[in-house]
Amino acid sequence: MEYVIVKYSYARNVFVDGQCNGETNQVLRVEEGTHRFDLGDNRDYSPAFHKSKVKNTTQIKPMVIMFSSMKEL
Amino acid sequence: MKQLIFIVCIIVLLCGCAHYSENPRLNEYNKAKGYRFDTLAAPTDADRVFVILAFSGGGTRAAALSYGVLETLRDTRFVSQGMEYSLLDEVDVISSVSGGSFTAAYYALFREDIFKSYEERFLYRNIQGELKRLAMMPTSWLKLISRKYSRIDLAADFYDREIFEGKRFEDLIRNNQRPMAIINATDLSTGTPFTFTQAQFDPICSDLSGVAVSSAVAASSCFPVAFAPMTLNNYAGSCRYREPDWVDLAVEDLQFNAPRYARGRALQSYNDASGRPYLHLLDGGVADNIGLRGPLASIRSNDPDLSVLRRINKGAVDHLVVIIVDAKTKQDDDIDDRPSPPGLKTVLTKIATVPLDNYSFDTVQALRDEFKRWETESRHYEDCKETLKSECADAEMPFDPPREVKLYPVYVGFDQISDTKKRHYFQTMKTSFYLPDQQVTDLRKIAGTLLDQSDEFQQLKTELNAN
Repeated sequence: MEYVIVKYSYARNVFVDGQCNGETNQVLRVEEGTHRFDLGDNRDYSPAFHKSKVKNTTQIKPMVIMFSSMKEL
Repeated sequence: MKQLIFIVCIIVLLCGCAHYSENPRLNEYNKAKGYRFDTLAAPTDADRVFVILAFSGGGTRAAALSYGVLETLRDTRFVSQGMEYSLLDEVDVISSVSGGSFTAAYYALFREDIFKSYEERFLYRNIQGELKRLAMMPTSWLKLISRKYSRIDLAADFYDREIFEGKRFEDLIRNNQRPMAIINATDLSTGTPFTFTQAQFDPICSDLSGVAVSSAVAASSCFPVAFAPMTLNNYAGSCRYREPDWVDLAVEDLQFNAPRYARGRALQSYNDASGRPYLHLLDGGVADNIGLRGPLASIRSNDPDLSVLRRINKGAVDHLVVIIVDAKTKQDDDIDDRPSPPGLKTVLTKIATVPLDNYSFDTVQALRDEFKRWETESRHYEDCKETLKSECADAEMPFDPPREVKLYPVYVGFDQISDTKKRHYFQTMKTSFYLPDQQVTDLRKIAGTLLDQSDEFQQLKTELNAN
């Protein structure tokens, strides 16, 4: 099991490989492997998605993925 | 005389045209329709206690043991928010193989009525004898002349008529309630589990709703050699199917997550209808004789159509219960009593059964290991937090831990019976679609005893305040 936290300025859904998998700013469990992360259809964030190989993470040290709000840019 | 010959010829021709029941085409892929977990109605907090049952193969022995588990769950009652429920009400998914598929499918179709009709219709009936008699009938021989109709189709038609009342998957969709019965067969070419779910039928552009439930059960219990494999048509490319996003990503993972890579490749293998116009299905036990591989993937992975992990990430699941009902036997043999090597029949039987049993053992262990890893990682987080507090009272952990979920791996199998004589009695029951009445009754009773002696099951009962 691997751990990822998707950081964003407020709470919204996190999509892993196109499927809703919880919310931003919470540690999520994901299967080891290559995944695509995005925040869903309202595409007011940047970048459009992150594609990452997730491995060797722990609950204490999850992989951190950051999205920024377009409004803040 | 001429008239008689003419009539006989017509009968032979008609029967010779017998054809397996073709799986219908899917006109248009629609992820919101069909027999899928997400399309079944459920109360708002239905996932709080998420219960998965895995029913193994083993003919009537497996069917009776799994039925006994359902009876015990029905009788285990608890109160929540002023309403009384049974643990059976909490079952969300039943994944089944071979003999266990009869109980799983029957319960999904007829719900509580299983306790009124299943015993007479299946458990205490000599299905094996009736199948043999059917195979001996001249009308059956004539049907079997057709190259598109085999013994498994004969069995499926019999199950349809005698057990499942002609019900199709559209009836399960219409029932619109959990548990979802996931009936497992084996794809003979890839050697991977093939489930009777719309998510599995989407890549071959086939509409599961028109398939008879009896066909799924027959495929799931299509014991090699005794029955010929069941055939499905592959209509891939005709329904605007869109492959799930994870597949393209999974095929990059060969080096560091080979099982995920294999799942992706297996799904892609259905895409080419011209290269693979037909699929041939065999007993689900060939790929996984306890029906646990699917549930294991759904707990470990965010990929499957039914992913428990996604539900956990969303904070929907507080208690995850997996009850494995394993009717595995341990046949007596005396091969080590003599210096002479065992005969060909014994060796072939061992070759056919030992790898399956070892694989089942590994699968159960993989589930236990997975749950243990989750608990260890949660403990590490708590230890780290405690250490940080003791060294630096004002410091905070940079992240909260992931959603907590309580895990209950429950195993019901004959090797849990401590009494040697009793264990031997159950472990040497034959694999057949007929068992003496007393054995069926004993199997139903021992299921409850084994469930009750499980520490994890007792923990769950304590947690739910169940009796």
